[in-house]
Amino acid sequence: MDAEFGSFETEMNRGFLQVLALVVLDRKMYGYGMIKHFEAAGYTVEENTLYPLLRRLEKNGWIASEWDVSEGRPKKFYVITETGRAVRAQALKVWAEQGRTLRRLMEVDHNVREP
Amino acid sequence: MFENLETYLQEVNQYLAVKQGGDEILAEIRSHIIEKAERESGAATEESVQGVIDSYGRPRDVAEKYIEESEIITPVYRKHLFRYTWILFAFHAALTAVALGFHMSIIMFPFFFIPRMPVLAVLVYLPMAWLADFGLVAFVLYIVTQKNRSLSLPWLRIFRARPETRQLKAPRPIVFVTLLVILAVVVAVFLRYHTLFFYSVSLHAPQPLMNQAASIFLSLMVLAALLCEVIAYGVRFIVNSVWVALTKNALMLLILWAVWNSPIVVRFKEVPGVDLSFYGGVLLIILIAATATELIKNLVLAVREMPLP
Repeated sequence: MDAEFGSFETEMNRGFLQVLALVVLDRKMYGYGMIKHFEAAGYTVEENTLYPLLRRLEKNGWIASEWDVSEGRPKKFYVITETGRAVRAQALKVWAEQGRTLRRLMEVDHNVREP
Repeated sequence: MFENLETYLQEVNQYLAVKQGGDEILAEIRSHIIEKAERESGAATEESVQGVIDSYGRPRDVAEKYIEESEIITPVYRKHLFRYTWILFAFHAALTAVALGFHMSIIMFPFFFIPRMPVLAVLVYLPMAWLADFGLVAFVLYIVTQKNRSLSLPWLRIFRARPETRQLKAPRPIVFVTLLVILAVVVAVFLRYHTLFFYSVSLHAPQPLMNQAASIFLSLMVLAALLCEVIAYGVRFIVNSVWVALTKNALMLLILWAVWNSPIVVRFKEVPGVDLSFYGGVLLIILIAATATELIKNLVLAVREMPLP
């Protein structure tokens, strides 16, 4: 049950984390900074999950990256692109609509309460 | 520079099958691990770096997350992989039967190389042939996946029969009894005249069509084939499976192979204006081709019945 839910949770988080990344990358951030930022907001993300996801977003052209070597150790900074902003707007709309649908089905049609 | 970190990154790199940007991925992981070690332990040392490495994940798992969307062969081709392999193998097996029957090598570069071999070597050759066919099909599907994964591949429907008509018909007792009667008559004729091949059909003094040794040998082969047919039909009352038909086809091919490779010289009765050797050879080739075709057809049906691995 735990293993099955772990896989289910991973699937759910995949989309959610993409939206989160597009939200926080409204300003320039690097991987470790993003993880800490998420943690401060109460959301834990594994680093080996975040970096591949950032790479995919960049491949799609939704975020851009550049290396900053000014502080001695190089860091790769990411920021959202114009395409990414448009995708984010659509994604948030979908997210909100899904939330409304879920609540309507839970509370009105099936009487399922949030835990 | 931390030796344990570099060793870890080297291991990640072994699994990191990305077309480009591999060094950049490793640089980012390196930067992250050192920064995390510094911030969480006050300074980056071999020990603190090792702590972060341990929590970062196994190199294989780390690399897998970067390549999880780049399949070697796209999953939608999975059924094509096995279907194409079995179709190719059916041709391969038929060509092998021909190579065996005619005692020759067949080369169709770069797809087939069927060496001249003894019959028992087929037991070793055919499994290897299947693996080679699987590899060839997998290679083609790999290329297709990498170049154009949305390509719609043909399904290569050989027989358009509906699923319910694909099944073997149930054996009928009347057919079985008829086969038994034919077998009994043929055995009786052979026991009486020591041949099944006649030039004249006079009951009192029938003349054999060929020399005695060839006549007895070929008659025995016909009897073996007939017996094979009767037994296979009878077995179908117990197990009505296409594998029974397949086994029968294989045995028939073996009998035809024995006829083709027989050291016994066949000397037909001389008939003016008719070359009986030629017609005998043509008849044998037609029988081999028909049996091989039936074997391929049954092989495809048998494969269809098999569950997908």
